[in-house]
Amino acid sequence: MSMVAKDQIVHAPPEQQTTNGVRSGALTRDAVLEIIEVTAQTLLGVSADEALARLDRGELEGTLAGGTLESLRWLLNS
Amino acid sequence: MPIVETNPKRAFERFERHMEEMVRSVLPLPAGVKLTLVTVENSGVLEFTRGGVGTSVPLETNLGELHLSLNQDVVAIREGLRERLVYRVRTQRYQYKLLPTGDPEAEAIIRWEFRADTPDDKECRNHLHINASLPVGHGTLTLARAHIPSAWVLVEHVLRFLFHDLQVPPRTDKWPEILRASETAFYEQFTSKRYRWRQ
Repeated sequence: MSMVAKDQIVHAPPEQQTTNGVRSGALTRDAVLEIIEVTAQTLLGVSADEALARLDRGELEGTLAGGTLESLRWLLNS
Repeated sequence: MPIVETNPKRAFERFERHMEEMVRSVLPLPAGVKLTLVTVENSGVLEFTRGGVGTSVPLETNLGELHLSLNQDVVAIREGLRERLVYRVRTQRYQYKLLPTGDPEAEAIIRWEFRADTPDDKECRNHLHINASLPVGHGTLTLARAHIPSAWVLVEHVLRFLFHDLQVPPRTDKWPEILRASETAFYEQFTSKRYRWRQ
């Protein structure tokens, strides 16, 4: 899972955006992986692997970080 | 008739536009915070984001500053056959959280949740958690972990709770009409149900 700068997601190609702007619209699974990585780093200061391990251990239950990571992982695997 | 679209992308865009416009019209959002839907094929995730990362919205309440986060996992389901093939957005999971701070690791004060794939021998699919404990009998009932059954909860219901009970200043005095119209639209445009505001 490669680390990407946050602005790479903000400036996604036009076809991956809607009129609502940032991080919106249809993405590839690779783009979702990148969002998970950036989310883990930004919210928890850890890698995606560590963040998802914490999620699996129930340490993030009821938290903002847990909710967003659970949703993104579901999106990746759906 | 429920609103359906001829492809998943259009169905998702319509759903996102409905939710984003409704929330933005009644709830003050900080600069840079948006309610956005990202999708992969026939699945999507709706949440508040800032700079591409999930975030919460600070709320000015009668109890001080609290935070709101929303997550909805949705799918575009296919209905009909051949030339009448259409797509409708369906919720697979929701999590609405009232948080004590903007700390992404803070546990919610109240959270309303739903999971469509909850097995029949588990908790009620629609439930809520309250970060409190009650002395009961010879033990303690931990409401943060107990799944208290609830009805289907819409984002509009949570916003109504914020404005009425926590006295969050809405963006407009017309919030009751906007929420009512949105609730009706949700039931009548995105589901096959009919909404009865008054009996």
